[in-house]
Amino acid sequence: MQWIPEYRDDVPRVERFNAVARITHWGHTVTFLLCLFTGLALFLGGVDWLATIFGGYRGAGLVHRIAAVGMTLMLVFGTVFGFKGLIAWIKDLLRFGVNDLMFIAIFPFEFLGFKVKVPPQTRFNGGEKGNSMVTPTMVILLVFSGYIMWFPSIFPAGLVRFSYPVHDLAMIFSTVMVCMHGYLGSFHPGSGESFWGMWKGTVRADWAQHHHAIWYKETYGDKSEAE
Amino acid sequence: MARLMTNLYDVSKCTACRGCLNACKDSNQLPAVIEPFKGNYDTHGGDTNGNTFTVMRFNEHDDPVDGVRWNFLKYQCMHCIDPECMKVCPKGAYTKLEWGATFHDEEKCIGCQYCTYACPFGIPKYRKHTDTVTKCTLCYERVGEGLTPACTRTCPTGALTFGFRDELLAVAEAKAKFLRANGFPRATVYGKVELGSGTNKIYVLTDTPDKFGLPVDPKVSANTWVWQDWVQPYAGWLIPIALAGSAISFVTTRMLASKGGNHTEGGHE
Amino acid sequence: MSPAFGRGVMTNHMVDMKNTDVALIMGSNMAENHPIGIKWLAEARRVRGAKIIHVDPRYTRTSVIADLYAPMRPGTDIAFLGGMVNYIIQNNLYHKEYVMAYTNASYLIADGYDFKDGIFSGYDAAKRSYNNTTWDYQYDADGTTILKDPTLTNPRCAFQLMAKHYSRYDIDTVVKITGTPKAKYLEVLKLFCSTSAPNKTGCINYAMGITQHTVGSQNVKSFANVQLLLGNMGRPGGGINALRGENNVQGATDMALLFHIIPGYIDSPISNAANKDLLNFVKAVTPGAAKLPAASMAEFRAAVTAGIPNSGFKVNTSKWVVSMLKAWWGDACTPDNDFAYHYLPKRDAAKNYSHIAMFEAMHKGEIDGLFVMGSNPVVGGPNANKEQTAMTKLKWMVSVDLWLNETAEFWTYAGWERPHGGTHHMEKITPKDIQTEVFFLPACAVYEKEGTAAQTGRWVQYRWKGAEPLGESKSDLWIIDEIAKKVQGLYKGSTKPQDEPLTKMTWGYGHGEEPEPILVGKELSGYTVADKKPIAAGFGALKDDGSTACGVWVYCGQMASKADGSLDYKPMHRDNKDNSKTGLGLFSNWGWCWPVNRRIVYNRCSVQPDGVTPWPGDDDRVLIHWDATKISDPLKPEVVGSWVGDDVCDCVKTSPPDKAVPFLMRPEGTGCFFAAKASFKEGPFPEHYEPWESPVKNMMNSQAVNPATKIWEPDKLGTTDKYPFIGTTYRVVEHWQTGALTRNLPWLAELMPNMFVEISEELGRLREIKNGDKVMVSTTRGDIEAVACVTKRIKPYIIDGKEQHLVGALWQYGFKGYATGDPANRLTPHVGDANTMIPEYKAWLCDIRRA
Repeated sequence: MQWIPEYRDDVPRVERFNAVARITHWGHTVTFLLCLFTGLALFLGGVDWLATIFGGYRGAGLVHRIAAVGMTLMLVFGTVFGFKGLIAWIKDLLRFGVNDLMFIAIFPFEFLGFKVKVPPQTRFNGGEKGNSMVTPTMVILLVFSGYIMWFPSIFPAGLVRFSYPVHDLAMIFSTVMVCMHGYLGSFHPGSGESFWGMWKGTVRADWAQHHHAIWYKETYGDKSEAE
Repeated sequence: MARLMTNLYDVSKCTACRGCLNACKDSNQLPAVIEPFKGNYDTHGGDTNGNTFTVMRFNEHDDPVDGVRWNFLKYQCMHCIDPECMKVCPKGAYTKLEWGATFHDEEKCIGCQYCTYACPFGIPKYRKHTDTVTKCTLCYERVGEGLTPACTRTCPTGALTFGFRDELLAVAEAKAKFLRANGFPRATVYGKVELGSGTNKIYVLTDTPDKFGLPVDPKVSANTWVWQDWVQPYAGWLIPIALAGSAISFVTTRMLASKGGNHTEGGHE
Repeated sequence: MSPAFGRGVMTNHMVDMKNTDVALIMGSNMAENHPIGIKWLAEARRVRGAKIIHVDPRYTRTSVIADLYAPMRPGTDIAFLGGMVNYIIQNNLYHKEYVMAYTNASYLIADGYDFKDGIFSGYDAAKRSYNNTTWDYQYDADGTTILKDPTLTNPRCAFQLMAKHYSRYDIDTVVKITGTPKAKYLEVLKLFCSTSAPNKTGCINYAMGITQHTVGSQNVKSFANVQLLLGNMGRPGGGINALRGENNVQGATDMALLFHIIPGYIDSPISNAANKDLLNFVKAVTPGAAKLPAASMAEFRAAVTAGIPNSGFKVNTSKWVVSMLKAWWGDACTPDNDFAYHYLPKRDAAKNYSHIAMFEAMHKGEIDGLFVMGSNPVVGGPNANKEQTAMTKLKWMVSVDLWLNETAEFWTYAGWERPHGGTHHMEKITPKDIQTEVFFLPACAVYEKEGTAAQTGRWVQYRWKGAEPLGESKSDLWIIDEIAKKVQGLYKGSTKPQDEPLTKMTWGYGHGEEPEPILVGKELSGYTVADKKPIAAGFGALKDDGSTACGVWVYCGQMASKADGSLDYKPMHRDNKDNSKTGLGLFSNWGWCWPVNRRIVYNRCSVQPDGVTPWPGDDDRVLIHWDATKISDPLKPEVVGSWVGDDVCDCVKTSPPDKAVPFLMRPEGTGCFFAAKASFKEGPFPEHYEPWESPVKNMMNSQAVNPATKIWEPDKLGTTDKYPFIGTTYRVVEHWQTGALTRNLPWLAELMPNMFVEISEELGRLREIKNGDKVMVSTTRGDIEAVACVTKRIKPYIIDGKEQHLVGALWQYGFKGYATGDPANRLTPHVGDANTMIPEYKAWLCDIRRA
C-alpha cells in the first residue's frame, strides 16, 4: 500500500518552496492543528478524552491560546520575511482563469481515481487557488474573532456576540479545506509529490512539468516556449 | 416536577439600603471590587462582574406629571425558565435545578463567555482567577437546607421575599394592581411571560421596565438563536464529510490504480 | 421636647410606628439612617393603609418610598411648621377636647410677656440673652394657682397668643421662605392635619435635619405645637419620634454624657451662690421650690412630702440627687456632710462646656489633654480644620477606637494635606511642629463585649458577647474600669480633703479580669443601702435621706430580685409575645424601657378625660383606662381605684381621672404650647430666624439669626458675594457616621468608595460642572475636593422669586481606610443651637467650582 510517493533524488528536481515559505507553512500547520484539537476539546461535547491529553479544560484553554499566538506570529513572520513570496502568491491567484475553472470541474473524477486530462496549470492549480483563497481568509477570520473573544471587554458586545459563530464557521470551513489539503498534499496519488515540495522544498521536474506546465515553463523552462 | 420556588422583588418596598448586596458578598465570600465613584450611586456601572453577583441600579427620571422618580432595581441572574445560557454552553455547564434555579457548574466551565453574550441580560461574567464565569446561584445551598437566599434573609423592608413561584406571582399581580390604583398607573409585573416562558425571578415594578434599565421585551439576539438553533446543528457535519471524502479517495484511487497497472508518480496520463 | 412635655425623649417607640395613620418624616432620611426602623412604617402602610410624608431639601431614598414628598430649603422648618399651626388654627382643625383637657391652651399668660419683630420681652442685645421672668402665667392671689380661660377666647390665653403669633405664617409667606411649591405644601398640610380626627393618629419622625441648626430646639418645639393641636401625643401611632442616630446615644444621654446635666437629665450644679450647698441646689432644680422657706434638708423633705405647687413629678428631684450621690460615694455620704454634695464637680457659670466651646478653648491652648473615645472630630466635628489645629495645642491625647481613625492620626502628614487653589488659607503643619503625645487604645467591636444599650425608643436591651475581641482590643467598660482603678490607686492613702472625691469614690464591679456589666446595671438601677437589694419598684421608692442609692433615677426598677435571691436584670428579658391585646406591638416583656417600662409616654392621653371612654372610633388604641373598683396595692385596701391597661400608666396610678395629670413631668402637668420661664433660651414660641449663614434676608422679622445663639467667630461669617450657595451635610446608608468603621470594611467601601457632593442640574449648568467631574467646595472655614454628582433629585428653591441653589455634601470621609476623601466638615461653621449647642451642620454658605 503506497502512502506518500517515494522521494526520488535520482531524477531532476526543481525548487518549489523556499525556506521561509516552508517554515511558515509547517509552523502554521502545527499551531493550527493544536488550535483545532484544543478547540474541539473545549467546544465539542463528548470528547473529554481529548481534553485529558492537554491536561483538562484549563490546560486545553491555555494551549489553545498559546497556539493561537504562535499562529499569529507565524503569519507575521511569513508576511515580513516572505513578503516577496507572498506577493508572487497573490499574483498567481489573480491569474485565476478558464484553465482553473476547468481544473475544478474535472478534478472530482481525478479525486476518485479516474484518469483525466486538464489544461496546463500555473504555479497553483485551480483547486490550490481555491484553497489559497478560502483557507487564509478563514484563518484571518479565526484570528480576529479569536482575539475579540479572548478580550471581550474592549469590544462592543454585538461584535463579541458575532465573533462566536464567525469563529465556529471559519473553523469548519478551514478544517474542511485542511482535510482536503492535507490528503491531497500527501496520500493522494498524483498530487502526493507536492508533499516533498513543502517538506524538502523541491519536486520532481517531470512532475512539475506535468502538473504545473505553465509554471515550469515560466520558471525553469525555455522562455521562448512560453509564448 | 417539583413546584418552582423563587424570589420576588417588590420595587415599591425597596429603600436601596443594599444590605442584599452585602449579604450576597458575605454568603458567597466574594472579594470587594472597589472602583472610583463616577457620579452615580450605581457600583460597577450598574452591572455584575466576576466577583459581584448582584448590583443595585439607580435610575433617575424627571417626569412632567409624576415629578422626580428615583427607580431602584436589584439586578442579578433572572434564572430564566428556558435559559439561553444553558442552550449555548458548549460544555453543558448549566442545568436547571428542579425547583427553578439555573445552576452553573464551575467545574465544567471553560470561561468561553459564550453565555455572557447570549444572555439577554448579560449576566454571567468572567472571573479571571478561576477562568470561569460566575453568576447569582439563588443560594441553592441555603435553599437546599430549608433557608432562604441570603439577600432575602437580610432585606429589612420585605422588598425581597422567597417562596413558591405560583403564590408569589399571585401576590405580585395583586400588588401591581394595587399600585396601579394608587399613584403608579404603569406598575407592572416582570418575569411572568418574558422570553416566552418567563423567568424564575419576578419583579413588581412601579413603572415600565425601561425606566429601571430592564429590557422591555427581552429577546435572545438573532445572532445567537440563528446560530444555535439552525446553523450549528448542521454545519459541523461538513468536516466528517470532508474526512470521509478523503478516505474514499484514498481507497478508490488505489483500487483504480491497481486495476490500471502501475503508475509511477510524477506524471500520470 | 422637655419644655413642651416634660421629657426630651422619643415619646413612642420604633415598633409603635406600625400603628400610625400618617407619618411625617421631616429632618430625617429614615430609609438611609434607620433602615431597619423604617420597616415599621412599611408595616403601617401594608396593614392599615398609612401614608408617609417626607419633607427634605433633597429627594432621598426615603422620598422614594414616601407617598408624598415636599422639598424645603434647609433651615426653614419653623416657617414650614408655623404655617401648619396657622393652617390648623385658622381652619379649626384642632382636636378640641384634647387641646382643652391636656394642654395649657387655656392658661393666661402674664401681662409682661410680649413679642415684637422677632424679639420676645426681656432681651439684652449686648449679652444676646433673655431675662425670662415675663414668660410666665397669670396667678391667683395665692400666687400658685394659674388663671385659665376655658372658652379659649381671652386674648391673653396661651391659645390666642399662639394664634396671634402664628397668624403671620400664612401659606404664601411660608412658601416664599421655604421654597416649597404651594400646591405640594397644601397637600402636606391636608394629609397630616387629617390626623386631628379623634380616631386617627399621626407620628412625626425627625433626626439631625431638625436639631443641627441654630434654631434646632425650637424646630422640635414646633413639632410639639402641631402634635398637641392635632391630639397625637400619648397615643399609639402618634407622638414625636426623635430618631437617635447611634444605638446607644440614648443611653449616653441618660447617663449624662452631656456637659450640662447629671444622670437623669437634672441640671448639673454651677459654682455659684444658688448652688452653694445641697439644700440650695435642690431648691434650684426642683420646679417651684426656688422661693421655698425650708432652711434644712429635713424641712425641704417635709415640704416635698406635703406637695409643692406647680412642681409636677419633678418635685422628687432631691431624692434622685441624693440617691445618685449615695451611689457614687457610698458611705462617705452622710446627712451631716450634705451627702458629699461638695465632691460633685461644679460648672463655671461663665463658661460653656459644649463641643464647640471645648475646641475653641483647645485652640487657645487652654486644654492640656483629651480623651477621644469612639469619636472622630477630625471628620465629624464642625469647622474640622480649626478643630484639627486645636488638637495640635494639646499636651496629650488618648484615642480609643477599633481602627486608627483620622483623629488618632491627626498629626500625620496625610492628615494635613489640603487641596490646592482653595479660598481658605491653611497654615502648613508637619508632624515635627506638633508636640502632642498621642496614645491609642484599641477597642473591641460591639459583638465582642457585653452590656446594655438604650436605643432611641428608650428600650434598654442587654447584649451578650458573640465573639472574643481580636488581638489586644478591649471593651470600653474594661478600659474605663482600668483607668478609674489606676487613677484611684494614684491617690491611695491621701488624706487631703480635695482628693476625697477620688479616695472615697465607690468603685467595685467585680474582681475578675473583666468588670461585670450586671454589677454596673445594679448600681444604675438602684438598691437599698442597708441590704444592697435592688429596688424593683422603681424611682417612686427612692429617698433623699441616704437610705437608697441609684446611679440613674430613670433606670430605677430595671433590676429586681428573683425568688432565689439572684438578680433579675430586666434588659435581658426576651419575650417576643406582644402583650397588647389589640396588637399594638408593646412587647413589654422584651428588654426594659424607661421610665419604669412605660412603652408610650403621656399615655393618659390615649383615652378621653373621663379616663374610661376611648376617643370615638379609636377603641383599639387605648393604652390605659381607669378602673374605679380596682385595688392596686393589696397592703392598702382602702385605696380603691387604679389605672389599668397593657402599658404602664404615665400618671399617678391611684389618681382618679380628674386629678391624673397627663404630662406629670411638667410643673403645669399639661402639654405646653407656651413654654414658660427658663425652658428655652430664645422664647416661649418658636420664631423663624435664618441660619447664621444664609443667602436671603429673614422675611418674618428683622433679626438675621437666632438672637440667643452664641456667635463664636463673627469674622468668619460667609456672605453671598463670595459664597452664593446653600451647603448642607448628610449621610448615606452605606457608611456609619465618620466612616471610621465602615470605610475600613471592603464591601462597604465598594458600595460608596469616594467623597461626593450632590448638586442640581441647574447648578451644574451654572458652574459648568458635569456629572462625575472633580469639584472644589469652599467656605470661610476650608476647602474640599470631591466628585460631583449632578442629579435631578435636587432642584433650586424659589425663595421670594429668586433661585437658590443647594450643594449637598456627604460628610463621612477622611484620609484613612479603603474609601477616602476630604471631610466635608472642614466647611461647616462653629455656631450652634442656643440651648444645646448642637452645631449648625445643616445650613451654611459655600461656593463650588470645577477643580
